[in-house]
Amino acid sequence: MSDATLAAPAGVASGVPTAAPAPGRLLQAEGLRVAYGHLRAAHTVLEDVSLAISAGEAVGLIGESGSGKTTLAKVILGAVRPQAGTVGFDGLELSQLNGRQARAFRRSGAIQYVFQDPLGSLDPEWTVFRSVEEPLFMQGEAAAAARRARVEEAFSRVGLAPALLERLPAQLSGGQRQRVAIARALVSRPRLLIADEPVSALDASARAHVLELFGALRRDAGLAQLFISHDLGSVAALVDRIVVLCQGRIVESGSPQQIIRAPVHPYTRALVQAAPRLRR
Amino acid sequence: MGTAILRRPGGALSVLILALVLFLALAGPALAPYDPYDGAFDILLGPSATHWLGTDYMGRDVLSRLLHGSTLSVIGALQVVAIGFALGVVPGMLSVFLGCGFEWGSLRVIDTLIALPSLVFAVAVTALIGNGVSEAMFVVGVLVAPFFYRVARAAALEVAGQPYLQASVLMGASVWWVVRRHVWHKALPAVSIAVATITGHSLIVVSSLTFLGIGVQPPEPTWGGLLASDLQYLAQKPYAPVFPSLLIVVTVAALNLLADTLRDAQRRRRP
Amino acid sequence: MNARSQALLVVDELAIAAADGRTLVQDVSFALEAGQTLGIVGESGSGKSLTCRAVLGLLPPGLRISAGDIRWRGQSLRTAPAAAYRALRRAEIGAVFQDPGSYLNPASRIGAQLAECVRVRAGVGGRAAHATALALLEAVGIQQSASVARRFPHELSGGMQQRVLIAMALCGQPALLIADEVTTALDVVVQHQVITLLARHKAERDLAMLMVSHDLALVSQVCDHILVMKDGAVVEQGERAALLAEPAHPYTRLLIDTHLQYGLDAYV
Repeated sequence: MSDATLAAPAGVASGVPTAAPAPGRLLQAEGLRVAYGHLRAAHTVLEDVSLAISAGEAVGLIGESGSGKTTLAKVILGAVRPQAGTVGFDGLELSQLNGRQARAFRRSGAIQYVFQDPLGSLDPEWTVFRSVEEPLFMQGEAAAAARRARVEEAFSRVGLAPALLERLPAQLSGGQRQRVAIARALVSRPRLLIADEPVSALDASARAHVLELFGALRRDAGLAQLFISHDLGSVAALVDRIVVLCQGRIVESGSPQQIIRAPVHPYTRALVQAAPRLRR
Repeated sequence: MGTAILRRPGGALSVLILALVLFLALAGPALAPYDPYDGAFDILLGPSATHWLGTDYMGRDVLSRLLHGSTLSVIGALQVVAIGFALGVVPGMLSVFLGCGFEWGSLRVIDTLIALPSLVFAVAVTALIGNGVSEAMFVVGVLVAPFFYRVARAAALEVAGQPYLQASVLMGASVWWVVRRHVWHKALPAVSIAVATITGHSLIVVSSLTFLGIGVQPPEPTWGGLLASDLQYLAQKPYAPVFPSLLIVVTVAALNLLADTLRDAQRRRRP
Repeated sequence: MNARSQALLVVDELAIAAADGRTLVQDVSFALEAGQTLGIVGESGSGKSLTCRAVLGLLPPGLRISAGDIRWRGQSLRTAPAAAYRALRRAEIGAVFQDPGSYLNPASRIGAQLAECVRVRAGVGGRAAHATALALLEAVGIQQSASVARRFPHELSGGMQQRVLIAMALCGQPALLIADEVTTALDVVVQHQVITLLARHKAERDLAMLMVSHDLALVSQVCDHILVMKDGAVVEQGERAALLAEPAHPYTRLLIDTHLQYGLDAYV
């Protein structure tokens, strides 16, 4: 956790950037603006959004559906072009890449994405081995033996038995499937892992295991994580910093303790109040 | 899939019939007892021990002519399907993934082709480019491509929204990779049904064309051509059209039965 | 639980079997009195939704009650004919399910659908039905009832749709409301609003509620009693505070611990 993040004011005013650029920044997004449609039909999804993530840091992006959080992830992944703003990743300016350069960047595997629904994100006719192996083809790993070694390494990292490698997704439980999806994201040795509602589709017992896994990954200093969720409770324990997005703008940012115990913005307060607690 | 088809009685029957027809098409000429062009015998004889199906109006053995004709008719139909498949399936799948321009353009081409009546158009084109078998088959193949396009496109659209395709794109896969490794295999079941149905359709078209005398010159025997000449001598030999008709009908029925079996076998797999 | 003679709904050693003989739910027993709320917690496949559907007489085709009994106001429902169940659902039991969009007719306006419901359940017709429909919309917290009544379902958000469905479920003044994963498809703030709404109705109308969810915390907000299910069987049940303070079964303990470790409770 860098001091720079705590020094930034948890501002109430809209469009407050989370931190001034500093060395050691992995991801630096500034002033992002994404809008669809023209003139009167224009719909702004993101307005003046800035986000910074350092290597080894875990950040939670909280917002309801329609807040623009998924769009922000897509901008970082290069799937959506912002109308304004920049996205700097490890020295590379992502928003200025053309089609071929963008694809080359994606093949490098530096940023990986874990979907919400593990069943849909794995090809149902492929064994999970093939699914986890796919990014390695993109990275240009030609030797089958080398690919197998890396797949097995990723599998053990997520705590799955090698015997499951030849199964189809439908033969695994929801928690196992999500861990396969995480293994696929980890196999290309990414610098940044983006997880979109990673446990919301899972049952209670599976949820605990996957949350534990994310906690273990956090201790890997080379991997930064960005969690996207509408539920504060599911990511609070996993992150160093929480950023709250409301209707396309960042309204508040701070450590989990700050956000939960002393929320400033009314929207944040509503979120904290709404998160279900055990009433004993 | 193979065992699923053979396990069903309809499937086993259709495969048997089609295997027989294919055998006739390939080995027919070798099996024919007489030369199909040799009109040395008495004309319009009924079935007998020496001529199982009798002779035609020129004294040629009907059975030999039918066997020789099988090759042309069946291979002709398969040619049509092959051309249609090659021209329709891949563009159909790609139209979902290559963007609006390609999609719009290919759909308009397909709409135009569908609007053309195949038989009339085939007759017109052979008048233009030459009255040969391959020309006629090529034209019909082009006209049949839209059906393959549509089936392949529908199958690709079904999987287009799936997250695992997005996942591939996010890890840097090209459109070719996605179609080749993810979509192709999932579209094959639907496309296989189309192949069976369209082969039947093509056989009818080929028979109709040869019935009209398009594409094949006499004395080349074809099922349709034999049917045409048989109808001219209906008074002398009223049962004669039955033999070529039966071959056509049984083959097409078997193909449709195979298509139905494939469809049922696939329906079982989806919950 | 308390004296059976006062109980509204009694489920007695209920078992549900599939067509091929597999037991999907076994030995479920609980009693619900007027004004009481029971929360059934479990993962997918635990049998919680099937139990509710059995109570409603709406088991999917092929499934049947293989053992036990369901009694409504003392009368056994197990062998009741379809007509009796329909009368029960019309007059006494209301239900709301998970995906609000699929329970509303996309081709019909909200006001018309709600008025139809009022006509069928309360026997009121014409303009009175429409007025009742507007009153119901306001009772579930939709302020601009007239303008919402003119809209089609797809024009409403998920939370609004769910409120409309709750209004429909309550329009016959039922004695029991069954809420099956009603907030699962909703965002957390909207979820909170719907739960608050249900709690308010419970207090105002002395409504008995059967609330099904996979989220123990959510259920603990509204319900006095909790029943935990896993793999078709009841693993633990009891009064809310007692169950949460001292869970006996390891599965219940897992649910509570996960919440305490990863939820907001860790910070507050």
